[in-house]
Amino acid sequence: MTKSLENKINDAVQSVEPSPEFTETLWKEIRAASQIAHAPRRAPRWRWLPITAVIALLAVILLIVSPQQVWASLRGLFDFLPGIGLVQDDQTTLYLYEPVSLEQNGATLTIDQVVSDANQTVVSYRIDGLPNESHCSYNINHLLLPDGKKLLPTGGGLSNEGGIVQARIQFFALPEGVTQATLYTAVDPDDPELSACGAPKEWKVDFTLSTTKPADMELLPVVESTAESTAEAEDTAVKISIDKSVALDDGYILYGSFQLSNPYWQGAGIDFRTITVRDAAGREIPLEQEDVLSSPNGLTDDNVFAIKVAARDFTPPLRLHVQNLWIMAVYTEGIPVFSFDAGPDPHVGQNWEINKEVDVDGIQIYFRDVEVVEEPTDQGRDDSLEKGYAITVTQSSAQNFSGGYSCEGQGEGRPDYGTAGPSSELYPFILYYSGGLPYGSVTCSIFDAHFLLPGSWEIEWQPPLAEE
Amino acid sequence: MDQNILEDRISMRQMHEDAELVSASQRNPAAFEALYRKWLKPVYRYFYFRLGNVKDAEDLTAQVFLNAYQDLPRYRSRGAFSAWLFTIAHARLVDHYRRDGRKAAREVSIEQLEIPISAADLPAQAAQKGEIEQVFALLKGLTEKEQTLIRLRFMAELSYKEIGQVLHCKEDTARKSVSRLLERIKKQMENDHDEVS
Repeated sequence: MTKSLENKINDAVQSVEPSPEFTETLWKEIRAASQIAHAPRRAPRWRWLPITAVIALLAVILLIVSPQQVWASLRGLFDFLPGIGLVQDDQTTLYLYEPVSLEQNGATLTIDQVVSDANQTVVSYRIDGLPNESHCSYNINHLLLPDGKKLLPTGGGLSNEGGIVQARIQFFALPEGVTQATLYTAVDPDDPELSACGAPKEWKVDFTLSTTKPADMELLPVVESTAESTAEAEDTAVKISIDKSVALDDGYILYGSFQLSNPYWQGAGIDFRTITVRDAAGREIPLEQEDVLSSPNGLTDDNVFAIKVAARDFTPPLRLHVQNLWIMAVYTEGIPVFSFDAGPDPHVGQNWEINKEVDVDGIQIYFRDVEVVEEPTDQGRDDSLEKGYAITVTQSSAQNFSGGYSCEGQGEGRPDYGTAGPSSELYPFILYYSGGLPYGSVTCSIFDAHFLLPGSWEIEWQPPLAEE
Repeated sequence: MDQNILEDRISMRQMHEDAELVSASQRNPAAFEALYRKWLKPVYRYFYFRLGNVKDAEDLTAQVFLNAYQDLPRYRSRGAFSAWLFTIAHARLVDHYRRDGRKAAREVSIEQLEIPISAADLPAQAAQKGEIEQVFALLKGLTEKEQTLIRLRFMAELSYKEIGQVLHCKEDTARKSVSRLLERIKKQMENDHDEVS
């Protein structure tokens, strides 16, 4: 009988569908957004698949680079290499002269390009011949050096579509004098899908670099720029500048940076849904988002951006208009937002009403309650299921506000991992703790926030005259 | 038990497929279309069977996919993509009621329902209308959380594992909650039928 009830519900549900007109119109809207951006926010680590070592490293260290030092911190002048990005081409820069391959069980890993300059080493590789159903995620990538040390990744990512893996991984720069290394890539042994990976689970490919450039390699010149934004008075908290450009066959890549006056604001990103570019004739020019460069210590700088003007046939100058910026704020020491008495032994389901509005750096945040929850499956450091505090925020004065909170109290519990994505009244921010949940008098603090800053910034950019 | 194992396997395969689609989309935005086409109907139905009208369902569905597209770089593959998607969906629903100045009403009156009829002939249309009205009648009188369970299971077509991730409960808890809820609804229907006869 229950099955009959289920069938009734299913039959009714299946009879309801969005109209074809709505389906196609919405997809066009989404694609229209992608004409100007792949996605907003910053750095390769958001655009690419997560790399475990990068996330761990970035969770610990935050790079604060003054606006004037954004490009100055990168030694030397740059060229642009398609498929790799900005490259510092000087007498010490090393290249992979020709691709190297390794075949295992019918699959082949080919390292197509390697460039190692003073700032980074970038390896571009692909794996062909994997079974279509291989379900292999090669999320472990590092370079093995001749002295046995390991270079960890600092950015990049990979995709696996139809049995072909394509990867572009950034690493720290090779130590001076090192011209040989081994690319090591493997499936994460903790991957729950490991047993479904029907392809070789690890690869080791040696390669040798030299200062000889591949015969068909074309480096494109990068030109300095001095274009800066003008803005309405209330937008002076952020200044946007275009610092460099590269002329391509089908457009230009513009590299820019943000100058943030608020000391808590660590990074910014252009909301590419709201950026438009017009030429002097008023014609709108298509844009695409580009990857940004990591800084010399391998950490992604949160104050730089890159966009591609996908056209060459326009009437200069170009006028960029930016309406929204994503802001990432970090409160390094934590700003306490509320306290409660969790008692000696907080248990799952226990709830405390907070009902408090707090001002954090000019942003009003309303906290409704906090509740003890338990992780659905064991993903933490403990062998047992970890408990966490679920904090419900119902309102904020900042748009698209998302905050990260951590609570302290008695006991040895330390933050382990939390939820990602937007939180709302019914879906709170949750942080699980290893070593036990903090108890007794508990104080929760905000450590980071992410929100949309509306504004109006205009930047006029003139393409360089000498392009060849 | 066998059915649960089979469902678990299908669910894991679906979650893995979603993870690959997400990674493809993060690299190439055009690849988001596969995720969009896969999840459009479940998201739309999830909203329709809460709001009872096409326009609001379309508006919120559009917001979810535009949000998901925009926030995809923030997505970290801990848990199912579907759980993240329906977390966004529910946030949009809460925002909708807040903006609308009304409390999150549990009940949509049958008279106010806008029923999108797609059947070809009149008898089929009448049957379709009746079935949809029946589902709304079933949902009527359930608590918000009970309605959410039904909508996540039947309209969003989520597995118990995915429902657990959305509602922050164990998979087994989600399974038992839905099962008990359906038993209760069935008993209520039988009682109502007995009273009428």
